Amino acid sequence: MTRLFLAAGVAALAISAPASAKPGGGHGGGQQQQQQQQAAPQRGGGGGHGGGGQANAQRGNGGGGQAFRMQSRGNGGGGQAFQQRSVQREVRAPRQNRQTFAMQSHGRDRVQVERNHGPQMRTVRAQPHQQQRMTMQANRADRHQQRMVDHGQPHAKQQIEHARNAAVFDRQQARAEQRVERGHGLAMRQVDTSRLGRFGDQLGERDRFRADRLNNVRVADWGDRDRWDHGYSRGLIDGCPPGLWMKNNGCLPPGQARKLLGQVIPNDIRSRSLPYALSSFYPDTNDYYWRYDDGYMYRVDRGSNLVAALLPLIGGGYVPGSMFPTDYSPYYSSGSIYPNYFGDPYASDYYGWNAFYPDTSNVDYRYLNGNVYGVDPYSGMIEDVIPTYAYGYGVGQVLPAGYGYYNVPSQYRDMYYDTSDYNYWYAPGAIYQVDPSSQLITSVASLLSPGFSIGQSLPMGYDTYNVPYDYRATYYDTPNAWYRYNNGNIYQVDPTTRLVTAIVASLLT
Amino acid sequence: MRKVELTLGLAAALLATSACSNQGEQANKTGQTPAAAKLAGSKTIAAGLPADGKFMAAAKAAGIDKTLAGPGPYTVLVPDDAAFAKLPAGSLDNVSDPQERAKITSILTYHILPGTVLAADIGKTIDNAKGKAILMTVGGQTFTATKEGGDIVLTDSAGGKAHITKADEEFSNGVVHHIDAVMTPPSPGAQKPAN
Repeated sequence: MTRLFLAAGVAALAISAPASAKPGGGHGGGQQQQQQQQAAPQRGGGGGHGGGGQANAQRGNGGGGQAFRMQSRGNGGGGQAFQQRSVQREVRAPRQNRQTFAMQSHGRDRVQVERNHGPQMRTVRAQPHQQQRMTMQANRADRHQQRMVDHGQPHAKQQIEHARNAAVFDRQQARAEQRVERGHGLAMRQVDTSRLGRFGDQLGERDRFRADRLNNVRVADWGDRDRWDHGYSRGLIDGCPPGLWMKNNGCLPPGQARKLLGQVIPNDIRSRSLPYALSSFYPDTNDYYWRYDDGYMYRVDRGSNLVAALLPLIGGGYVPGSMFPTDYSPYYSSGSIYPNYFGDPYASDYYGWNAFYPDTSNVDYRYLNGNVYGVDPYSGMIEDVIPTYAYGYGVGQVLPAGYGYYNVPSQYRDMYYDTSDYNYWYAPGAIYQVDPSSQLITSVASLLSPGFSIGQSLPMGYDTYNVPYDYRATYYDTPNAWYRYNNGNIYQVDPTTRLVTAIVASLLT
Repeated sequence: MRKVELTLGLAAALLATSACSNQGEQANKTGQTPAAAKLAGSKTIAAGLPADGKFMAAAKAAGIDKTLAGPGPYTVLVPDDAAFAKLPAGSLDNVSDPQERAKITSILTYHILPGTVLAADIGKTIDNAKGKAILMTVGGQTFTATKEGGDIVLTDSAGGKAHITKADEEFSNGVVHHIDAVMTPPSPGAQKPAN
């Protein structure tokens, strides 16, 4: 009987531990549960729980899966949670997986949004789950093969060709259905919204927002620009002029959006509440309320219902110094031609933006006044505008086009890993916390300063000792060595030459 | 005897459950992952500063309230509410207005330094650098520090001065110095960093 009670206690322990666990946390308690997801790129939930076990979740990205990080987080009642991340080229799993999760949670007609590499691959439709899964697999395979080609792995060419054929076939199907259904897409969503009442309205808007967002994200790396440009040359992308499509602001021209300023808000927009993730940042007041449509938010006077302000959600041309956003100007925005004095290579290089936004044959990145601009090197047209955090890029805005993959610096990955609640994304200056369903930035997880590197001179402004409390007893300045903290590491500096000589400690590992 | 064993077994289960849930609750409350919450500690800058103060209101508008609840460490120069009131009319009047966000973000990041910089550290640098220390902010901009009558004075890009009124308020993820003025960051592109 004693054994029975003890066994009951242990069983209760094993059952209770996973119940409180979070993805990625790892509260183990047992023996053998192993999950390996190596061939296909899966988002590593990494949560080992369970009444039984040692959970082993492995994140792979296909194409080789060179393991570069192993981490162990054991917190539970006696077990061990083990998470191994295998990441190649730091490319995160496809968005379709996350999208599927969100759609399943809604438990209603699934609106599938495919975001493929090609510009013509937009499909918004309701379809059976099985078909949707097949489509995602094809897309995943396509991305997989693209990465493999980029890495020069000729032995996989046969598989690549097979995957490419499957993806092309699926896209042909998708295009055919798209032509038929495009005209019905909006009406379908509106019907869904009205049916579900207020709650349904929110969900409908979230779906709509996600659809717009996903349709405008270039998930791929720049290597797939050849296909992207192929569609570009035909004039329209997803029915949008290329400039608008690249702006990631939906398909509404800025001029058309501006025309609504001072006008009574149209009924169709008036019914579109802000996406959930935005509503907390843009609360309605007694004087005005916010509405969202096609990449823009509208601030509407509550008394007159006149549109008082227009807010493009990303990029769309707002620059510090301009009357943002009501006086939104196309100058310096997507589609305009940058002036000759554009660019500040010195600052770009100092802050590391040159490395993070490398020039390609199809786009040059330039920094000016707190913004990074993607510029077509042939036409001089600005294609993308990415404000940096210190100049206003942050909460309430969506990820910039083409950078929606997991890219958190390695020393921060143990802390900022994707969960079902949050994703994390790095850009120079900050690690952003992102709502996985809407891709909106919800907060800044960590502020990062321009980094040190071994061998460089100590930058200006770091003469003052700044080592955290717990490390001061070990790393204090002497005539022969200085110590400075920067982005999770403590560096040793030669006081004579002022050169950074070594990393002596990491606070994060 | 059997009852005692049963009680012990159940107690162990409950203990394990609460341990996990406490960590999870703390992480959820601050928007941190469990690992980040653990490293940040329990007495964070975000938790220690008055939630109804103007600085935290501005931090929330800029999305860095959670940042200050994270591991850091950061050195934060916190202007008191009276300092915010001294700003020109119309400045930061409505921190929840998205049109103000760029300005707020720029100002706040000018008040945050990487690492833990105590007032004595600044004073030592001033002494070693012949009376003037340059400090780097997380926004990549700098301001200067000097001494006036033994007190540390911070001078912003516009020449405005702020005095440290309360130094070295220690937190688990950094340190806070209270100052009596809001510093003005350089306008975008106006200040080029130098190695």
